[in-house]
Amino acid sequence: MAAVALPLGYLAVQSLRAEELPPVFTESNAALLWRTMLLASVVLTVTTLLGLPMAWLTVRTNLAGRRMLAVLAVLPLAIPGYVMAYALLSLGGAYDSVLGNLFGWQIDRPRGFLGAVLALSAYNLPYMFLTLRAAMQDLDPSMEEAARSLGRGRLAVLWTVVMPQLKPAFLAGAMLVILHVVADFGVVSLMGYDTLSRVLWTTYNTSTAQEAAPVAMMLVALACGFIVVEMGLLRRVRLDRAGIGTARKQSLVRIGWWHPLVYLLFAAVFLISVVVPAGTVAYWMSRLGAVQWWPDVREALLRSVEASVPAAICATAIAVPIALMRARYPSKSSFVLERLPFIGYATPALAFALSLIMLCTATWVPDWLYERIYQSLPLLIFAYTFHFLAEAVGPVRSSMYLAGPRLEEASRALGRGRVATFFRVTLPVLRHGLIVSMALVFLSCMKELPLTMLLAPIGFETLAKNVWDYSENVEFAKAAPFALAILLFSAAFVGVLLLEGREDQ
Amino acid sequence: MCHCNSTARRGMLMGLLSAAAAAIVCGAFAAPLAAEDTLTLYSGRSKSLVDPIIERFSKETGIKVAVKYGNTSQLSLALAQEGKRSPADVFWAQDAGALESLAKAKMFAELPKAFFEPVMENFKTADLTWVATSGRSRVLAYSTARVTKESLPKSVFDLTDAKWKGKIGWAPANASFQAFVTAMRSQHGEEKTLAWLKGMIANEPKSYPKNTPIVEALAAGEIDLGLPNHYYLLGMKKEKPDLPVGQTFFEKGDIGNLVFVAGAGVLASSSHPEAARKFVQYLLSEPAQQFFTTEVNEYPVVESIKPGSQLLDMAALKAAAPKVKLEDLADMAGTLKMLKGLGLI
Repeated sequence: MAAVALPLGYLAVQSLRAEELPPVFTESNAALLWRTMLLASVVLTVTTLLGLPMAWLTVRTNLAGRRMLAVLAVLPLAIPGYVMAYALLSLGGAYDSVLGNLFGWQIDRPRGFLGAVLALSAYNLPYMFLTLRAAMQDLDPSMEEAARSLGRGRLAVLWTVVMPQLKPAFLAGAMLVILHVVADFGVVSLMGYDTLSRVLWTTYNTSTAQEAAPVAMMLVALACGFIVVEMGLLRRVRLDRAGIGTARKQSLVRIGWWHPLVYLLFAAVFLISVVVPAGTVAYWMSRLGAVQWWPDVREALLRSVEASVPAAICATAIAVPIALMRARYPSKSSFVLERLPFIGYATPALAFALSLIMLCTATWVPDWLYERIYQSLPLLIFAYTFHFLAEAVGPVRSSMYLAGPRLEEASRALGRGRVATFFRVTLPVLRHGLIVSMALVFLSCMKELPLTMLLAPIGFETLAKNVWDYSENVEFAKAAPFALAILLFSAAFVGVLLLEGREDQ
Repeated sequence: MCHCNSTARRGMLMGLLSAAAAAIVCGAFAAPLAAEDTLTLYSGRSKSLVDPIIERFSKETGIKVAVKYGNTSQLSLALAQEGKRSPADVFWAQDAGALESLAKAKMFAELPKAFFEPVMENFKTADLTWVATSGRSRVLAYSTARVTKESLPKSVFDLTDAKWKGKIGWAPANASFQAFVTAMRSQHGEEKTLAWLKGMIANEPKSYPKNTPIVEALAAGEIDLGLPNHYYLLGMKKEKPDLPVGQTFFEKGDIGNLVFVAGAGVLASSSHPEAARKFVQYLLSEPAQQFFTTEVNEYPVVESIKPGSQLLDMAALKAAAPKVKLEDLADMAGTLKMLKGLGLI
């Protein structure tokens, strides 16, 4: 709790110290707010319209190769936003464009609103896909069967039984998508579409931390607005089964002749979200020539992994009690507890990092402690964990809603203690959610920049930092092996997690 | 669900969790990374640009350097927040703005006067808090596929001409652009600068986040003219020699040809002030200056070094550059206010 409140306290203190507060409620900010909301709602619509069928097809049907498709669908999370934007931009244009070189097609670069929607949708789709997928895996088919047996048609069941059960997962995914669009600067700046993040970025780039704090506060306040809306929508949701017994395994819908059409859908999505960025990186790589890159990449890979893996595990471990409190002991305080991570998530990473620097370098911290914690690996892991905690809470929460308390009650009634019940009953039930939580946090950490730059040990060069460093100087060929390493390692990690989460045969 | 399987899985999860906990505990009690005899450098200049020269410094002097690479303005925010407890000995920044704001906060120790002697007059800083390490200039970049060199505007003020409507790219959020506007204000006054900016806005320029996307947009045919720094195009041409982009100066003395610098300073809180000064002095030495101009395509700041083959010679650069001193670039705040007022940042 303190870890999330810290950045807020920091921002408040800095705002109070500012000599002259920048005007927040201005006409230009209002216009930017409108543009931000417009972009966020379009991206949310696109990701929902694609994520929902994709999740259903990979969970509830006998689609051949569905696990492979699921891994591919998550891959865009391993691509830093600005790389996605570069890749899309390199498709068009008059000189050395990918479409021009391959097919002789001459198109304008996809800049502006369209480019921003394309890049951000491709990049955010996995959030929606993964959270919906985790929830669908935990759906109890007996509900649908009951509705069917009572005379409802297939579509009616979908609307009145399945969709409402997906509500917590959808809201969790939507929060992640919206907060990402609001916070994004890398994509929208390259695409030339102005949003509120530009104000934040330019004030942090050009002013003191005191002057920038109110702007950061404004973004946090906006996020709080979304949280309140979500709160209203999530009120009184209870989704566990009313009957006795445990959930039965779902039967798979046979899609038979629909296979080609389904593959076409996936192919179209992957073309933009995976093939274009991965192909662009591979093309950069092809121009690298005989440069010795492996030692540097191996070193950077180790750095990335040793910070990202512990953070993913810690964040998930912390998310479990938070979600448990919320789902099993609903009260005002458990509700606030569960929302806090979203505030940490919405706090701009730079402000988050500066608040930790303020804490570590405070005069009351003794020298021996300062020397050990400041710019240490545990500090970086701590920062990753609490900044990305929200990504871990959502999936665990939606699994928890669907599981219901009955199994735990049964276990307790049969004489198992609280702790034993937690480990032997609750955790296994949450498996799908836990896996997705870990995957999401891991992927975010792998490409994180501001926290890494400011808080990592000195000389700690992650893969993402290398990609950023080289592409800053337009040395894309040199950036390529590092970007590829992020992609391949992330794919492997997510692949293992998703395979681990498969239904036992 | 098979029981043994779930036990194994739980075992794995617990194993991972305890491994993470162990890593954190071990990490927390590990010795601090930067050893006693190591110089700590915060570098806003990219690793890919400056790493070779830092290694060379270590080899020649035996002083180990640990580098924290990052974005110049973010590092300067971190330094300001760290204050006296900063582990940094030296800050090497991409632009003067960040150095000036730290100097104002009294974060730097003064450098010996002797350091500044070899530095050319136009690269001399106002006081002794930081020293310029390399120079760059603003240029007019253009699409060689879409405009001829003869039709290019002679002055940056001509860019407001209606014939360039929708054809110019700029980067108002970029520190280099802001330095240029500051110079324009000091040379031509507030009124003329404001009028120029308004004229530009009326000409509907396309905005880019920084310099390199401007050059890329020129190549892609999105714009005809752009206002970047001089060295990005030179770097890009190394990889793609046929890039259809050229660059040139405006007429002699035009404010659009502003020459400005990257620089470095020694932190007042440095625990290795001796080694820190040695490092800064090394950046002004012949091998370092030669490296900046031949490898990074920047202008040397000391008289004795000849600019790289891609660059103008110093006499020509001095003739092209407007008569602006580095200290004239100090009033960044006024520029930001103006740009904010126009909704550009």
